[in-house]
Amino acid sequence: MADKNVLIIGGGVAGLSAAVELAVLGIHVELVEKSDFLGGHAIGYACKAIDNTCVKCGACMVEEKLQSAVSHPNIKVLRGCQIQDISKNHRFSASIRQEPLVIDRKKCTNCGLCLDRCPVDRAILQGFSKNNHPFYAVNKERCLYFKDHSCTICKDECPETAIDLDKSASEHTIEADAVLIATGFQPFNPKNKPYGYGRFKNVVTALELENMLKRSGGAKKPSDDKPPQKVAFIQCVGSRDAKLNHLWCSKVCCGSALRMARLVRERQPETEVTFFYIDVQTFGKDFEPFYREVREDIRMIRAIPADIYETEDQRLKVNFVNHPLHETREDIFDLAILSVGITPGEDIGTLSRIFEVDPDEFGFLKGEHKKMPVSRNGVFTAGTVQGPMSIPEAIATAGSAVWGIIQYLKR
Amino acid sequence: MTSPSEIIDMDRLDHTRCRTWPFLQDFCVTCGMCASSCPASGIDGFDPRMLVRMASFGLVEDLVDARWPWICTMCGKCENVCPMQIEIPDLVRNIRSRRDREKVPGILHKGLVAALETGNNLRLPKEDFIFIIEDVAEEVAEEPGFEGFKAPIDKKGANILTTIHNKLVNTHTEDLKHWWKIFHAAEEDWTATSENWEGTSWGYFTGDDDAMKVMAGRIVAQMERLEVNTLLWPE
Amino acid sequence: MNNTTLILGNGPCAGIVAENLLTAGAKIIIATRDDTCNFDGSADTGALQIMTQTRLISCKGSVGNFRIHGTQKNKPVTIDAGRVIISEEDQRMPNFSLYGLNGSSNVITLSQMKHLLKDSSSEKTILSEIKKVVFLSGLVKESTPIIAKDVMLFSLLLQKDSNIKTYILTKNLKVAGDGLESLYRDTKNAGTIYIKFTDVAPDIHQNDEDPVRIEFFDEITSKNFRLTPDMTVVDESIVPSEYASDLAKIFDIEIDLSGFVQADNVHRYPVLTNRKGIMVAGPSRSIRDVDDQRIDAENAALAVTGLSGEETKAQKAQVHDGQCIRCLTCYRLCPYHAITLNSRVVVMPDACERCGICATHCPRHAVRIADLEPEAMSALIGTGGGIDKQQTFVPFIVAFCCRRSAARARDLAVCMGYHLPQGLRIVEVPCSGALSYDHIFGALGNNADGVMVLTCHKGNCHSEQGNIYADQTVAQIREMFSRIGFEKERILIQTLASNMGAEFARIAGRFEETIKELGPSRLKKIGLSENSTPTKSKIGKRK
Repeated sequence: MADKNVLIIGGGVAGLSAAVELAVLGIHVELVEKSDFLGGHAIGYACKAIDNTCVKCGACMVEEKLQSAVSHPNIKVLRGCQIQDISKNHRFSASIRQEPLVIDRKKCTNCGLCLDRCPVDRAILQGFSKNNHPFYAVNKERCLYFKDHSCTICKDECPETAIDLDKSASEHTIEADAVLIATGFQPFNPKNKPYGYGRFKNVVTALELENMLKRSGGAKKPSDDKPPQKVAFIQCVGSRDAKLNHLWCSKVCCGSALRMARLVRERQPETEVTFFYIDVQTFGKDFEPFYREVREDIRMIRAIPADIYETEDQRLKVNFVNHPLHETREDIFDLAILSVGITPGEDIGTLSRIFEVDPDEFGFLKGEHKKMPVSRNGVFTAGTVQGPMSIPEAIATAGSAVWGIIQYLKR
Repeated sequence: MTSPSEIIDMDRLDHTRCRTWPFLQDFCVTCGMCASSCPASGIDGFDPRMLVRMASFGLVEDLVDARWPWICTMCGKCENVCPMQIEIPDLVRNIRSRRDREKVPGILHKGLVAALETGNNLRLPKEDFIFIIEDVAEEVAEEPGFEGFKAPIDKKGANILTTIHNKLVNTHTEDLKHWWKIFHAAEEDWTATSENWEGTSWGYFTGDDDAMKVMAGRIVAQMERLEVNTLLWPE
Repeated sequence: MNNTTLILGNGPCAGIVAENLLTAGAKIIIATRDDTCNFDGSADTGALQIMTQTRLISCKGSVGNFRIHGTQKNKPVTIDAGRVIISEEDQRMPNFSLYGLNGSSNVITLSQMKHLLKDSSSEKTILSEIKKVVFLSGLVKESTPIIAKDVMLFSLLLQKDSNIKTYILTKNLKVAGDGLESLYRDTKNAGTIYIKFTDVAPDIHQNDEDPVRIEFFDEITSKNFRLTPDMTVVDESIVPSEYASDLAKIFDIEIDLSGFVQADNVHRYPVLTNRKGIMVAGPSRSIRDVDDQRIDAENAALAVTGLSGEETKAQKAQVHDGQCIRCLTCYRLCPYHAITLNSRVVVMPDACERCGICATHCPRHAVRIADLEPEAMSALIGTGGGIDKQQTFVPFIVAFCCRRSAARARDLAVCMGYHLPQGLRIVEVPCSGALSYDHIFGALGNNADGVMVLTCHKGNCHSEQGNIYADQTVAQIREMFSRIGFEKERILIQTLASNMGAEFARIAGRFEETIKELGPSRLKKIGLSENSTPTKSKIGKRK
């Protein structure tokens, strides 16, 4: 099948996984990723091994798939690309718009000077893997040059002259015999929840904690970079919520939070952790022993806090009912972590229109058999675009989609 | 009323008793956000989560007879945070409405009866009300910058009609001055009314919808009489 | 290379595997212990062979060449296949004893309730007598979404269709499955009452005269309640089929703690095992719902398709006949079942994954992987460290890094901008199981001041055991060192994952500090010159 080409939209773990499976079978793959980095959200997740023992979160799997994907000759990666439209004769013809990749991957040596010198916070982003190359990217939403051309420090200081701020966008067409939609999810934005996210520095999302743990190996308070004494995990933020019409459980947050809780406790034993939940969901194969141990290690309270207020020194006052008692308590924490839910990706509307595929009642792209790929005449889905799932499950849906693609290509 | 050690036979409970109530209490996932947000949680054993569940179970008598459902201040924070959109304050009101009126705690019902009979909770006669308002208005007029200040009563065609909390013509008359000065500085065209001026509708707290309708109706009648289109009802 | 796939199983999952492979034009054999096969193979019989009443006994060979012995209708039979897919069904064990109950006409299992609900005649008889049903789920052992789905679905049917009052008593309600939160809401809409427990469980009594009596403290209302249901439904534990442990032994496949036929190791996801060419799908590998089973089946079919003789240039383990004494240590230790015994002990190259465990444990050094031998690695180690321009001691640190984890972590550390010790030398190995005493002594002989052995986390090793063996090796070396007066702190073992850049830097940095304090290794002064190669250790490698 060396004459066949598959277009994969989305370079997260599902897209990368599928790309590798197809490539290994001799099929050519063009993988189109919207951002400057491959790996989606999961590449930013930390290894949560505790007591030198793997906890099967799957974060290292993302790294493995990424490594295989960037090194396979049958896979062509296009970063900064989004699909605009698609048409089909006997093949698919996709029009792609490529945003300028300001940092040239051939010249960049990942020295990091651009990030060092950039005057604006988070205008230069870092990747999470050696296979994110270049390791740096210009964030056009915050970069001053893209606002009013007022700053060219990174370009001027780059020792390899690898930065071209004036590079223009381009458009081109990709021909493909089948398409896989693996565009992932959006983490719920908790800014409208009464927890002060976006206003109080020390309120972060679980994904931000993952990133923090991955970059530095420990939990830190954003306000002063010091380790927190008391940490609160608040579950189900944006999930199990009829008011938002998010009537689903995001499945993976309990596992993620509890593993991070134990990791924080292991790395920083003086830190106390409190876990606020409704129902703890099962994860992994050996849940019972893990659950038993975690309950001895952290305080678990079966109630969700309703308010967070900030103290003068940027600590957090969290109000919660002290289940099973009936009175409320106000405890002071240093860091609050909101386990935000998995919600449909921001491009679902566009994808839905382009591919004439209907989202389900909650906005995910699911097929008839719930998890089966939507195989609308050559269009398949994999990963969290279908709904909440773990990293191993996303890899499995990718394999399932690839199987479907192969059968489709053969007819 | 059940004591802590008593065992309630669930077979005797009819869980469908409250199913026709429109407050969605059956959808509770016991997340506890209501109780977490409630400023009165724990006072005298008040707990909105517990209240919702008891309604779900059909433990209506326990709720009606208990003192603690009267602790709720109707602030509405619980409903605001509830992910299942349960209308907890309305549930509380419904429970309160089921008590015999003589058993309504404190002065709430007595004040309500006074309001229904006289137009205000204090049974303050009309002349006394007008006297107090004018007296305080004179004091305001003596302050520099407020010369000529008058507190309008029954002014036809004003822009805003405002109700008055009985406290303001009883123990806290000084507090009248603050908002009067604001209105004056804003050159707002406002009026109070000489009758049915009472803003605190205790039927809201005692679960007495009929009384609330009457009081609201009276205020609306005042608006119609004075041809004012905007109502300011700080409650 | 045999292209036939042997499918073991007779349930829906096996059926989907078979269907998929046949559609893809593959040749398959379905073998089941049962008397009849449920798979409707109305397709081309040339590609499909069905074997019923078949039990397996042993499996020799490697991918592309499995020779499986068994019995069919109690007569010996041999099956030749290129690949095997294990997709036996699981079983549901009633949890009566967990709740202190005995099964009876009014204390039944979920499966029995399912049967009742399907059978329309029972609606008129059994269900018509019942007014109250209590479901007990996840009160002692945590439940799963599959069980929770059954519990909620049955409760919904009972409430809606039969107007029966239902109660669900559970600890954590499992809603981490598609549609379960909506189902939860629907059941409440229909009138189901949920009692959730956190730390304390309900008291459940059963005796002959009285109906089941359940007394509990409801945490939300802080009141005590009593329930006397007409029928009590007890949940079930989903466990591997009895045949599973037999199959695991027959095929020499790792099982997890619950007995499912797949190690709980991310490298095996979704359908692989430690034996190349043998896949496991569906209920055989884990608790999987119907949709997940379909996904597994497709992944298994894909895995079969992809196994068309991938060529690798890397050297595999080889047995040197002259030295081999057939102690069978390598055979027993090989995690991939890559060693076969004929008249000679032979390594099957297709199955060998170069973990090196055989080579490090062979008492006669008979089985070796040429490029992983200590002498070969010595060249990679080279020399390093010394004294820098400021006359400070720069420790020469050799870090043996598993290529899957620590070596990648080091790359990430560099990328992230962490500074690594100046005298750090990374030596990649395919698995830390390939590291023997000689490798570590060899590094010290090459003038290393300190040696780090950086392995995968427990449970994350691709060969499952490699890191454990490395751990034992290092522990023994450290113990030996402390007895002979050499600083055991010069040898460090630590687990890592491929995405732990920050931790790699921290570990390397701290180790460098340790070595700086200890100073240069005394072995440097004991006549071992830069260029000397370490002699082969003549000490027996007793464990």
